[in-house]
Amino acid sequence: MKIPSQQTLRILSASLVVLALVWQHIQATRLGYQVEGSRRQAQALKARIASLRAELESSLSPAQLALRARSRLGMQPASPEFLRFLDPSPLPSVRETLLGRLLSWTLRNT
Amino acid sequence: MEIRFRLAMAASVCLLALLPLVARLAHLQILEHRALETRASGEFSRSAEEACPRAEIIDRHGNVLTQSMPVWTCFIDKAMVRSPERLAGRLSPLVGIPAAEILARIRGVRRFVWLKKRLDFAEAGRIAQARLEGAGLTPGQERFYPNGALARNLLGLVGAGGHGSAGIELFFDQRLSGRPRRFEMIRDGSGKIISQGALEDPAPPEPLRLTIDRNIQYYAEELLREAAERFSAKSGLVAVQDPGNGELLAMAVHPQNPLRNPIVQDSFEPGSTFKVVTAAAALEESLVREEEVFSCENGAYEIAPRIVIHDHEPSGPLTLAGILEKSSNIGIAKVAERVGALRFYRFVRAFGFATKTGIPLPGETLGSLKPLSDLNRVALAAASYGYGLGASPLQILAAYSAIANGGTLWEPRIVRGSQKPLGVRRIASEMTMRRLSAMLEGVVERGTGVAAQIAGYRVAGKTGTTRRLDSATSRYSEAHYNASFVGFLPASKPLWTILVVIEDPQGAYYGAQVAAPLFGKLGRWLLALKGVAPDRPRELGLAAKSEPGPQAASAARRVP
Repeated sequence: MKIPSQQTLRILSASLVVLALVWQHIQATRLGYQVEGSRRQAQALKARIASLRAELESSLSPAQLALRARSRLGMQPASPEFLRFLDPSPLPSVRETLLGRLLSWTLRNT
Repeated sequence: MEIRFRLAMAASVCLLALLPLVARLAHLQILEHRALETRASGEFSRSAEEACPRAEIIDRHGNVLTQSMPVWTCFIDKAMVRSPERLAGRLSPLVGIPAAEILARIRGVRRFVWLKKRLDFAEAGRIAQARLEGAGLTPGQERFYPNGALARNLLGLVGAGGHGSAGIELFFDQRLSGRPRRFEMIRDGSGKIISQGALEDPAPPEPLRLTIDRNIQYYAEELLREAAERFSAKSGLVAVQDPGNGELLAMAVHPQNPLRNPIVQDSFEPGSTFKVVTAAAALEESLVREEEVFSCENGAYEIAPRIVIHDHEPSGPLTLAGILEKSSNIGIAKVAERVGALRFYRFVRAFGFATKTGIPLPGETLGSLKPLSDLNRVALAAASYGYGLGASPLQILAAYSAIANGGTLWEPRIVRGSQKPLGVRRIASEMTMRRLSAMLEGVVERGTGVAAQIAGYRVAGKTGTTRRLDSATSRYSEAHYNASFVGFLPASKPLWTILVVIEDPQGAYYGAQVAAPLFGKLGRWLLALKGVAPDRPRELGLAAKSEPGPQAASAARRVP
């Protein structure tokens, strides 16, 4: 088999480099199109998110909630007389609870 | 050999024909390379900017008060329009403008016409998909207020250029404005964009968190609107502050005007609500004993020749607590005489009047106070019950918060940040403020402020009724008043300081009749909202309703 001369190898290498550069340029352009497409898509999605968020915040605004609470559920503004405050009574001792009794019985019988 | 020679000759002839091309290519690529590259990049490549949305403003719980929305504006470039009729026909259903109107605009004088502004995402998408020659879209940002007019006097306004022109939007304009994203791009032969990467990609600005509570703001606005309509008032305001750290929870104004915030920008004569300053000075300097009585001259006191001070209701001898409960001008003027102009002046300044509070909002007023040299006997008496001086509603609110928290004057805060609340100064001892607070409880319990009572809870406050100054005659009007009430609750451990001012109410005009009930309603709602346990629980069993009873109502009819 004939070994290619050094000159042929050089030409081949140079051709490969040129091809790689061309390929890289084409890829960069292709990616540039993709990036621009994605940027537009992201922009559109951001706009959609902002629009939906605005819609959500509007429907959760106190005026809207109060209106719906009154008209649909018949609710009225809160006032202290509707509050029920529980007396902070002391907790039963361990022995008085069912678990406490069970524990005591177990300890006594072991 | 002959064949090889012939082939070489043929190749040489072919290559010779290409030689001019090679020479030209070399000339363009080597000699004119730089100039041509510059020209090409100017034609195809350019840097573009993508507007960064303005930061959101959120309340203390993260609810959005205002946000930026992307919007588009549709335009027509007449030079690019081939068939105006066809364009108008196709564009009409997309923008909701009659075709005849679009046609008239196309046939107008100007080459460039804005067709419709504030197009939303869906509308802009439909127009972009239609690919209409001569019509285009340009993106922009618009401020959107999901809660409608809520807190607009505080939030302010953003101008057409995207910069704040009033309120929070103006004061924090730089903080809210984001830097645009800059990127490089080139266009291919068909005009399609090829992205070349970002030149500058700054992070969007963080939302600005206010101390305002959206729910409290809403309810304050609702109650204020109701009261203003009921009394056909010219205007009104309600402000709520946390006395523990100076944070403002609501700043409601009626009618709403995004360009003005009267709570900060306006000053008015505070009237009887100012009597606490005189009382604080007298108590702190131990000039008045609590059991000591002052003659209230049966409602008329000639302080100087032909200058008579009147009380709304004739009273006999009263203690300092009684003076506040009955809101006696004569009584407090006598206390002020004992305090003296110098001490009084010092206390007025210590309470933060005639100086800016330091709130980060534009156009804050100083208020007004006569110089010490002008505080003669009459001026001192008038100032002791809140006439002849000007105070902003915010200054009054901050002063009452100081009484509520035991004597610390906080710098009012509107923006929540990492920095700690700033205590401006201690006005008086805690003991003085406790005694004053107890006297203000007496005002609500048995004095002029009974309409602010809340069953089961201790409430402290003071009414105020001031004659309005007639700008035409520069004299106090006999028919126009400002009604106010300011106080805090629950008095045992104050959580809220509330100020109510109703300007020029019709029919009833006393603070006790107009402002105090609004205070009571808002207070009851706040207590229920936060589930605050009663600090006077025994009362709950006795009171059937926490609305002011008949006794309170009749008292409210009688007194200011």
